[in-house]
Amino acid sequence: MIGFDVTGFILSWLVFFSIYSILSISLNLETGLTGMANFGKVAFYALGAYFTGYVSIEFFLRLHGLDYPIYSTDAIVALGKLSVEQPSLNLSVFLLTLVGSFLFAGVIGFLIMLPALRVGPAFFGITVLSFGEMLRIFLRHYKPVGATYGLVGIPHPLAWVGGTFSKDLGFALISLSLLAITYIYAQRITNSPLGRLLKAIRDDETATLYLGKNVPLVKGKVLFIGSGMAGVAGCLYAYYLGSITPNAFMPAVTFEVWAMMLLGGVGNNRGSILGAAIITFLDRSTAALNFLFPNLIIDPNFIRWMLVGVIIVVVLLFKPEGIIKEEYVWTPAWRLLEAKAEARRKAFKELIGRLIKRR
Amino acid sequence: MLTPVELVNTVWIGSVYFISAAGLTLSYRVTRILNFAYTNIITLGAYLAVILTLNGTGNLLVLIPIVFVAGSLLAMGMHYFVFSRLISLKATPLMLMASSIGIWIFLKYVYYGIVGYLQRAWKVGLYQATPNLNLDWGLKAYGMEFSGAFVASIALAAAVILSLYLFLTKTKMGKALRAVADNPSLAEVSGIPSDRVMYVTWFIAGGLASLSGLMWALFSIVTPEVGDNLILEIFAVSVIGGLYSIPLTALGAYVISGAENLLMPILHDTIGLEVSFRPFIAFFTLLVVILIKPPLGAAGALPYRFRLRRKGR
Amino acid sequence: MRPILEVKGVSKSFGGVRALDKVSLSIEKGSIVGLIGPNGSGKTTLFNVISGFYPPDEGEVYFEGMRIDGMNPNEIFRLGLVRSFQNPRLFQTMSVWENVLVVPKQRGESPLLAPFRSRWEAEEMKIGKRGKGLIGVFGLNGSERKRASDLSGGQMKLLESLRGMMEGGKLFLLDEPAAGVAPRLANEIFGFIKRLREERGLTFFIIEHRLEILMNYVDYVYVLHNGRLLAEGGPEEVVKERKVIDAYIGD
Ligand SMILES: Nc1ncnc2c1ncn2[C@@H]1O[C@H](COP(=O)(O)OP(=O)(O)OP(=O)(O)O)[C@@H](O)[C@H]1O
Ligand SMILES: [Mg+2]
Repeated sequence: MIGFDVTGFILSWLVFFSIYSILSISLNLETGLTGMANFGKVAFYALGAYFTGYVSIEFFLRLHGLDYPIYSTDAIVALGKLSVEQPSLNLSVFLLTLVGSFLFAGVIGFLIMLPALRVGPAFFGITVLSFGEMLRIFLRHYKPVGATYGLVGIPHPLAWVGGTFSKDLGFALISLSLLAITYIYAQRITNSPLGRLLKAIRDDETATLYLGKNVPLVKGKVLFIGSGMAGVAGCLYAYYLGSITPNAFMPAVTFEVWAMMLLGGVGNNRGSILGAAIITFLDRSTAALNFLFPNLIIDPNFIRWMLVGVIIVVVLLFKPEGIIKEEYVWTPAWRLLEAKAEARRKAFKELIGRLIKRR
Repeated sequence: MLTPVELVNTVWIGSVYFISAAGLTLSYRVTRILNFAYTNIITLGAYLAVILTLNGTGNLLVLIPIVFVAGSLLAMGMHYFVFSRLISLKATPLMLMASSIGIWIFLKYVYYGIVGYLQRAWKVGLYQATPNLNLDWGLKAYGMEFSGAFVASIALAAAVILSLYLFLTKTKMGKALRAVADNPSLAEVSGIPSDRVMYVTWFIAGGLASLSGLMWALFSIVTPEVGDNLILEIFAVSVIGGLYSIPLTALGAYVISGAENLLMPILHDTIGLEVSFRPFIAFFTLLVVILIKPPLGAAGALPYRFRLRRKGR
Repeated sequence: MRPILEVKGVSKSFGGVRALDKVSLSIEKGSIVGLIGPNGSGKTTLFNVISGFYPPDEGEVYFEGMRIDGMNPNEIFRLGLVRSFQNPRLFQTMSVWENVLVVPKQRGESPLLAPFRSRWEAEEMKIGKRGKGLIGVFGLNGSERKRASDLSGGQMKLLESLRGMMEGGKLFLLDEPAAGVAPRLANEIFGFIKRLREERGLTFFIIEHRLEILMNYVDYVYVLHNGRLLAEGGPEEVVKERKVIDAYIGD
């Protein structure tokens, strides 16, 4: 076990846990609650990551009057130097890209609604899945974002902090707080009239339409929010790794998020986080396994993806509700029923009391 | 430059698309399950062709039935182990789709594992391979020479389509299949157990997928992701056919293949479009079809029409 | 006064089947009108066309003088035309209570306001009170916490009609509201419909196979056969008409 860094393992797990929890909460919003088969989650994750990478690199280089091409060695060296100079610049670029990747991925997610307007879930699934693959192919061949090499030297928001430990700890805390915001928002809208409406759309969108709800618009809004969340996850990912390549955004990533959502329990946000915690832990462990035993017969990555497939199928077959079961939408209006039940209970007690007295 | 090579590719790749999309369409119509793991069956067919002919004495006529049955067994296995159980659990179509995705990703990496293992054990390059078939002969006609692989794949495609047509129109089982496809609740009355209809459907669809993998391998390189790389085109072709009509599917197959093999080189020469953007043709076709003329019935589409201006007065 | 609903020469075909063939009819405000006809005669299709499920192949539909064919179902609902389905389309995984609460348009449905309970709580309570009242009327008290999928067939029909009445409808298209409901309850439902008409001036257009119940409550009846309007008139006259009897027997 020499050389295995436990704190490093935990901190990196915390970051990945936050990133994937945000992804699975967003998937749960779109799929678990609203019933849209988003098989292209990874596309919006990639959009967030590439937006962040491109904008932050451009900002750092152009602001300092450097015009190296974006993936040149000069640029990477310059970025390394520039990123430790001005903390305020790092942080403001971080904030800018955070908001920007939410909006950028969100708007494109909203537009994805258009094809789904007229076709059923199967076709929507095909379209979004294909969109993800197209985006990856595009990124692989589009020179301005580095084509196959991707973007390298993305300036870490905390690059100026001395010491890897405090830098990583700081970033883990940032990620966790973004997760907290995402979770609180998702949890609150789940238990609101909006959450109820989304579940109605999931159960029977035609009937919902017949109750006067503008179902396509609601779906579009949900896709905006869900894709925006995925964009934020992508933003964190880009900063954390410092470099991104198109091949990090394979369709398999989408299904890993699906596995998390299904394992934790469809339709509830706590489940999504639990699923993300379990699977990212397995994932980080296989990475550690790789590090500890470099000569394994079978590539640990293969095992990881196979596991994702097995989890999806096994959960659907044997525990379709997942670890945490979905609940009704709890809103204040339920209290109206309480009052009634309460009154009935009281009346019943009185009746019993009277019967006993009579004896 | 337009050369006979591109024409040959159009026909050959079009046939691969057609046969695989026909299987997908058939299985979707009858079972109402959109099976993403369908691509694994294509890969299986392609790899069987490679592995069974490693010693270089492959006879296509022996290979065809083996490949067909292997694909059928895989598809029926998926139904037996996963889909049928989920259906009896009253899973929603969404969850059935999700389960097929689970199978898909699982099998994909199982293939990677097996291929990697065999490669090391047998010491042959398998990650990118071609089958060793005796197809060195050629056929001369109209002043052109057609390779054995081309002739074989065309003959295979024709035979498949003809037998599919005969099966669907002339046999009792084929008619039952069509009845289920047209009206699932009505077919219950016809007296043929729907379970058997399901297995027959997967038998045929799996066989077709596997054969299309074999056809691909006759011309091109096989990797553990061949099927996945075709998925977009197959979906686009099926959607052009509305996931409904087999003749329209055929049309879609050759149109997409033609656009990829004939139009793409022209676009490359004239506006310098990179050849690697080839899959975009299928994707944009898919989008346009879905936006402008959504497939018949579109499987539970919302009765909602997008209008810019409100009608009414 | 102009009728609340006018259907003018509406046709609709599916492939070769002509499900509706130049159907014209009109419904007066505040009336209860029946729509009968043998199985497959196009009754549900007519409802589908009126309520915006399909645009008609030809013909026009007017609601309160406004042309509504080609509008989307949600827009038509907002105008005050509410429908129910032949096979109840409830939100199966949700409780009866949520099925009721979800109907009215409310502020808490906005993604921006939804996280802030104080912004929508009062409105939701008001909706809840109305819902509770209607649940009482429809005899569903005590089942509020049940999942909608656990209800009996008759209760599902009731819940669906109830849902339609949660928000300001003027004209109700009910597709077999009493199918699978016990005769006594069926009479109660129709009695309630009648009361709603009297008290609030609502209009009902009802498909029903159980003529013995329907005929006691309707003012006027249209008969469809093979997509054509076969007869119309008061309930007593229509059932006596030769061709109506033939159509039913020939079925
Ligand atoms: N979506 C559709 N596609 C094809 N044919 C359809 C469709 N909807 C209805 N039809 C056909 O239109 C005709 C009229 O059907 P409709 O459902 O309107 O009858 P109905 O009067 O409501 O019958 P029932 O009393 O059984 O409810 C039938 O022949 C039916 O098969
Ligand atoms: Mg009907």
